[in-house]
Amino acid sequence: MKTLTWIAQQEARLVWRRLSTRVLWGLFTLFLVAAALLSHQRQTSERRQQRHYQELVRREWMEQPDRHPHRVAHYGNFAFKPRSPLASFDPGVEAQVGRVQYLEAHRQNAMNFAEAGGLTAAGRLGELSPAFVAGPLLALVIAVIGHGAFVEDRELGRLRVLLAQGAGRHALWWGKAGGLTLAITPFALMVPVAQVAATLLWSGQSGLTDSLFGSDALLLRGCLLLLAMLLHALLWVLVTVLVSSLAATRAQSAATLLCMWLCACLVIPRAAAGLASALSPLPTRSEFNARLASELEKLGDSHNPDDPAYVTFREGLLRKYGAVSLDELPVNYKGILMAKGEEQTSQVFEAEMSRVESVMDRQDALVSAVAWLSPVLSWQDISMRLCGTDVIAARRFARQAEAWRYGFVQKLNALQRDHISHSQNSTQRLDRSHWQEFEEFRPVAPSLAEVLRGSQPAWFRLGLACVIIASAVGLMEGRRRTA
Amino acid sequence: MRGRSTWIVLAALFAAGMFSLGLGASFWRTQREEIARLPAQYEAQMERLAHRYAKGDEAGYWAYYTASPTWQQPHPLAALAWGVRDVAPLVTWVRLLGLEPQLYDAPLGNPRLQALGGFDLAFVLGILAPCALLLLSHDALSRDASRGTLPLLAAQAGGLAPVLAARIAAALLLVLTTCALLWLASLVWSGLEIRPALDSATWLSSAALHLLFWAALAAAIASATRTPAASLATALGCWVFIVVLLPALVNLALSASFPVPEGLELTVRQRQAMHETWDQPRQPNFARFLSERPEWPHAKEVPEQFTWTWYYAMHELADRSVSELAKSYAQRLRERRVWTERLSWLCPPMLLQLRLCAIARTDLESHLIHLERVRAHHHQLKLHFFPLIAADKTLLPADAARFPRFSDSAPPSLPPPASTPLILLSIAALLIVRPSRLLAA
Amino acid sequence: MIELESISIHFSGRPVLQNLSLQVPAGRIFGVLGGNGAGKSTMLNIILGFLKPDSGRVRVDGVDPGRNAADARARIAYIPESVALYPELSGEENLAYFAGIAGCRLSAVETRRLLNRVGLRDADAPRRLGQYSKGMRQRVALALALARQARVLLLDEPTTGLDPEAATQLATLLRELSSEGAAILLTTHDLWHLSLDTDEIGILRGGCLAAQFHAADLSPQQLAQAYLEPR
Repeated sequence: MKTLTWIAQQEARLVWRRLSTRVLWGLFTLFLVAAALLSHQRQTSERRQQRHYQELVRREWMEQPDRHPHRVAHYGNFAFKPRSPLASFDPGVEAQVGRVQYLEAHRQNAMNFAEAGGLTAAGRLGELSPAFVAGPLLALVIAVIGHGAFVEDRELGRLRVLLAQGAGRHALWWGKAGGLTLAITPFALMVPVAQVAATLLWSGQSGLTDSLFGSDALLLRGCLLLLAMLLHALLWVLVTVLVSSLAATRAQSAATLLCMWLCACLVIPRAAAGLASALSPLPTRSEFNARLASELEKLGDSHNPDDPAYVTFREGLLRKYGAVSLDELPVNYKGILMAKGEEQTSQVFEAEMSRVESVMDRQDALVSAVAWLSPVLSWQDISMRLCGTDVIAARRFARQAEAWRYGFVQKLNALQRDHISHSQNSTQRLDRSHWQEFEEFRPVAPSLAEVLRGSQPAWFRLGLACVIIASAVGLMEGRRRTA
Repeated sequence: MRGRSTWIVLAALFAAGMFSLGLGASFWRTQREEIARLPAQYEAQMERLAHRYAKGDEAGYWAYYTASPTWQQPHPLAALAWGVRDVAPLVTWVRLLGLEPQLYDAPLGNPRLQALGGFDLAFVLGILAPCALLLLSHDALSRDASRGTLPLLAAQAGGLAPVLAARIAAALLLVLTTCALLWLASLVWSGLEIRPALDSATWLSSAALHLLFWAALAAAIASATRTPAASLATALGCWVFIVVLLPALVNLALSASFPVPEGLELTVRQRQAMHETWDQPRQPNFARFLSERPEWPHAKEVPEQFTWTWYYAMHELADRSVSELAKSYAQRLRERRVWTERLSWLCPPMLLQLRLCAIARTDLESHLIHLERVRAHHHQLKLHFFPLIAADKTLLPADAARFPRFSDSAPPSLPPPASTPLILLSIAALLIVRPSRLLAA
Repeated sequence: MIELESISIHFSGRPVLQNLSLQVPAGRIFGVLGGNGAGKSTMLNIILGFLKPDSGRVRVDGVDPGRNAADARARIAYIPESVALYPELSGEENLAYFAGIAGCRLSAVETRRLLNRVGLRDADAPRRLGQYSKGMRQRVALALALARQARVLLLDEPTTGLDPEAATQLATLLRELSSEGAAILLTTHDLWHLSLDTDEIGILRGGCLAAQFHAADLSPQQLAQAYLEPR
């Protein structure tokens, strides 16, 4: 153990003696700072914009004149997808998910203005983010710094000298791994430093307070991000030293590691995406709408009080109140019918949407399965979830927006039922004071506990991979006798 | 790198290429099928309407419920360069209502997969092929320098330049042949038409030109490094920087410096304009509507109760209120594109990506042009329906056959960004090639 | 101190060492002369415990390196032909590092003292090893042997690539160490230095010791004759 720590210390010192390490650190920091600042600036300005329109929309809602409730239901409202304060660290799927959804009666509109829709073809090569620097780029740094860890000693004949000093193979292996870990610590530490600095710099200007996460959870999430980053880095350290201890030449070790990196970061994720969408294809928007239309066709038109689809419903209602005609009802039949129609259409939509979501779940499951081959996917999974920018958060938002839409539309239908008389349905207006009773949309992001539960498999994958490599090293180095 | 490892690298490249072709073929087929289904979907909808309005109904009702599909027929090359196709919709259904809210719906997609990016042939040629080339050629000289055979080699061949040129050319030829084989495979396998022969030639030559740049870079690296480990580290360092980091940084900088707030503004304003008009006195607004619609002087008066004329006039007024914003939205995106193009002069993979997607009509510009054609179609709908609505006509199911349909013209042909920067960068890289330096101890 | 008794080893059926026996007692310098492929490196690997012989008995200061490599290596200072140390570190840092692995932590003063002892000046100690000549690197390695108080020294081709002056200084240092009681085994092609600087000379040919002489009994010319004769 004493030998091990001694080797680790000296190994780290050795790495930092090289000019190339220092230059690499400079470049790494440069990219990190650029990513943190630009990403923060962008997220802050988008959040500010969004807040502005959110307030505008709220004001416009409150300032509506006297209107018929169903007019208000068609006036509708907007659900803005809140930007998580950590989106500047990992934007996740924010660019792919739209920014705003128009909510109105009878229909569930799609999200609009996804940032990715405005990207050029070259934009699809990907965008720099601090999460990219902390994950894939740090892994690359580890491979570059550590590829010679063992093989250089062997190529230059030092390995025999080291062993001849009485260093055990295990001590040497773990000393090298420890040394590499120590050596990349100055790289890894820059990530939280840059992130905190960028946050302080920009939040001072924007003065935004975030309702999405409590500030303590924010800190905890940051610590967990750091932990995940270190675990991912540790895996790469182990892989790097392993490859280095098996390779014949430095060039071979470097080529192997860089090909692994290329596969893990570029090839496997994209291939997984392609495979997932080829194996379980999603319906297109047209197909989806066509299915929806044919399902809705079966229901009838709730705008039309004489629609034959609702005759039994109407008769039942008349019987319940003991009335002969609709005008005799104490409530407005059109409001009730509208509520009934809304209930039915949203059930149909819900059913169709959950079919689509189950396909997406299958696709995500395939990506998770492939993540066994690429630790970068596991890192992305953890970091997106912790930053609140993952697909689960996006879907939860969509579901909450739909629930809120359903709520306010039904509330308006109730107002129509209770306050608008059946005979004067087309001309009567409702006092504007009623609009004040409607609450603002406040989506709730998944809590930290949920996030942790969801990202368990990814943590497990990273941890298990580390354990497997460590035990493989134990077996291999235990058996080996020659230099 | 010689012997077995050369073949492993080339085989891996070829396998990746074949995989991308498989995905591309299925991607392309899905899109073609989607478009092929549109007429049937439209007919099914019209049948439902014919059933509902069997005895005829107001033109306004027909117009309200008739959605007509517009689409972009994918260019055959779109199977090889997907561009923005997975995030920008291929098909847009339009109704006579306000157009703007109908234009920007995201296609139904899994954001997680979209964020991971596509595995198309453009990715293989632009990202993986340079890596293969560098793996094959980085140690063109250092393999001899490290063994000490370099002076001998130089003496035999009359200088190092011919040796370097021959070895780099051999590597380039191997990679190019692999790419050409992939190209042929794409023609055979996915049954692509070679018909846009000019496009195909430009497409393939862009990829070749791009590899030429990397070959020049490989020559520069080979002549500047003495050990295989150093040349490998330098080559792959350059590759990661040029292929991964530089585009990622440029993209982030562009989206940070060209925000597009028009999207939100447009959505919010359109709705407000639309609903405000309901509550305002109708006549002045209607006069405003007619001022740009001189073709309907007979519809001067608008009654206070609901009429379809007024309903659609309101929709158009709402569209008009945000037309400036819509223009500036497209303008902003074009600005971003122009800057991407300019910055891509420094980053060959970006330039290649732009070129390949422009030729395949899967870039942003093609999408913006598609949006313009959707607008034109919407205008056709107005020209057809407005006179009927203003005249309060009743339409029978038989009339539906005359409703305007989107005419599928050839995809727009756009000049792709010039490839001169690729040539200039190749020459610049060649200028720093000085193999004789390696002989000086 | 080093005892090899009837050592045999085969690599994939081919005999490399056959019945090799030699002994280096404390205070003696033994030189092994042999062409390429004679089995010199294999012999060193067996002494270091990197290889196990198929048959025969090996003892290093009484320890069997085949069974207890760590214990044997703790008694050996090994200096390979290339004197592979870390070029990024200075002479004193290299010394401290390798000594540390062997379990002796040196203070800065001790390090300097040891380097001075092998003839490295204070001005050279903090310079990076990349700037050292082979002779200087060998001195660092010898300082390491001193630091570890190794009873046994193994030197692989120590004089190859040394200028005559450095070779002479090395011989003096080795002589000092052996007079302090170390057993030294070196391998070489270098007939001239071998006959001058060693006590015993063995000629390794075909995997066994073909001849053994007292260095004092032979002139370099006679040694050359003895070495080349059988061909």
